[in-house]
Amino acid sequence: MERNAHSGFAAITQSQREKQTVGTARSVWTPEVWVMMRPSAGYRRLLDQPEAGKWSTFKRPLFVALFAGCMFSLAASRQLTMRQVADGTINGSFLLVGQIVALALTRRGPNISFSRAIDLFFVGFGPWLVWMLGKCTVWAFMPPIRAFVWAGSTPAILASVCLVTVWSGYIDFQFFRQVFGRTPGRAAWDLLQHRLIAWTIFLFIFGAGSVVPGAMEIFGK
Amino acid sequence: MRIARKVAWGLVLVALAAGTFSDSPVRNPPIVLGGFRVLAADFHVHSFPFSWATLGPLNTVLEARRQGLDVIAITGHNHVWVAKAGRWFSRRMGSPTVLVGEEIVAPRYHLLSIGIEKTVSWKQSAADAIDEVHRQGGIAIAAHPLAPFWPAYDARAISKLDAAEVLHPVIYTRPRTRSELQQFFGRAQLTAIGDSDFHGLGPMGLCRTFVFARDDSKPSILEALRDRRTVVYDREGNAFGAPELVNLTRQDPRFNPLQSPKLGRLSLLSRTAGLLGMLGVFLFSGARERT
Repeated sequence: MERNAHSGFAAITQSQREKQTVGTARSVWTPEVWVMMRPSAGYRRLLDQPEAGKWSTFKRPLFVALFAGCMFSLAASRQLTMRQVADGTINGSFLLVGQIVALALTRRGPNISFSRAIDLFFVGFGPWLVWMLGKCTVWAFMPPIRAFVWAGSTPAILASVCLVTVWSGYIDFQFFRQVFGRTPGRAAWDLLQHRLIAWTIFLFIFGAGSVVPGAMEIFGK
Repeated sequence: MRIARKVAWGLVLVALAAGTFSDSPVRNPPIVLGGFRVLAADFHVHSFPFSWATLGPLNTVLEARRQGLDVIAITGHNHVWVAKAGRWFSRRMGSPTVLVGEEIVAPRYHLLSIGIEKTVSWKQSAADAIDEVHRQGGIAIAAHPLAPFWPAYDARAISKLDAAEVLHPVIYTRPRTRSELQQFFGRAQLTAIGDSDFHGLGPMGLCRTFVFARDDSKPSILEALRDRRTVVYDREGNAFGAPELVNLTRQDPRFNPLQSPKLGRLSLLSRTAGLLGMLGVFLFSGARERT
């Protein structure tokens, strides 16, 4: 081991670092939590992990869809029922298909498999999962009228959605930086393209019936 | 942390089992007042897709049964095909009565058209849209007619309108809107309607209309709406609608305007275990990490 002349600390050579990466340990928190709290370091840490099998392509999107299904059930009936969770999972998965299509269209030339990219991209859904969890806690435990006052008011919804959109946008910006190796400018451009495609698909599936007149109503035409 | 994650998934399974076991429809004993059957109705229900709703048409129908509703109108935003799917499911299950409807979402007004078969275009004035609804034999209800929508309801539109929502959950999130809905309702001889505007958040039928109909068929329900045979109660006990029918409901001890399913211990277990379980699954990892 060489002693670093400037810092005085022992410098670790590359071969020594590789030797230290032998073995496994259990992590307390899920990757969603790492990435949510420290997106850049979280993605670097995940990239250091070996790629899981083909199952990983579906595992995390399915988890997000199931999470949405559970939250839809709690919000509608204040309990988890098989019929509503299954229905909500199927309906929620349309949203995820939109995200995957957008990812496929914005992924150009990175040296990472598409299945790995999907797995890592959906790790960044943490803020939305926390948002759903918080909202559904209100719907599940408060009397309906109070729940409407707390979670149903338009300004409260807009404020919380704006906060989560910015947070999740920063996470995905770091996804493009760390996972696809983009420059900051290119990552921002990819993020913009991704959001445009994914949200257009989302708007179509969930709100196609009223998007055009709704926009005209908002913009006063 | 593998144990914590397993416990979390276990909680989710317990929640699913408890919730599914306690998921049963509410069967209201039929009440007949003044020679009419009193039906609990919600005429403003949205279903996935295209209408900002989370539940598909089958589950919308099942949820209406669970909330003790005898009648619902599925009102897609500017389309009717999801409502037709809901009606198909309800006919196979026997209840509730599902009326095909549409929420005509136009830039200057929102109008519920109930009992129609074809989509009514939003690219026309409110008065013309009401004419189209009537040509199809339907009923036109002003949906949450708050002050910004009032200019679209000119004298011509108001004279043709059948009904207006006088009770809607918006009054609980924005209290000043309560008086706006009541002012609009007072502008003409309109049928009083209370709707939940259900999108998947909060209980369907939170605000509901009691319809005094000959039976639970579509023609009887539409006839009752045309004849203004409805009563609407808010949570404070204020009633709207035909005064003689309001008196009948007030005198009958069997009538409960705040019907909702009784959520027992299994439901409490389901929501508590479900939320804790999902939180645990989100937080705690069970995977090995290379170090």
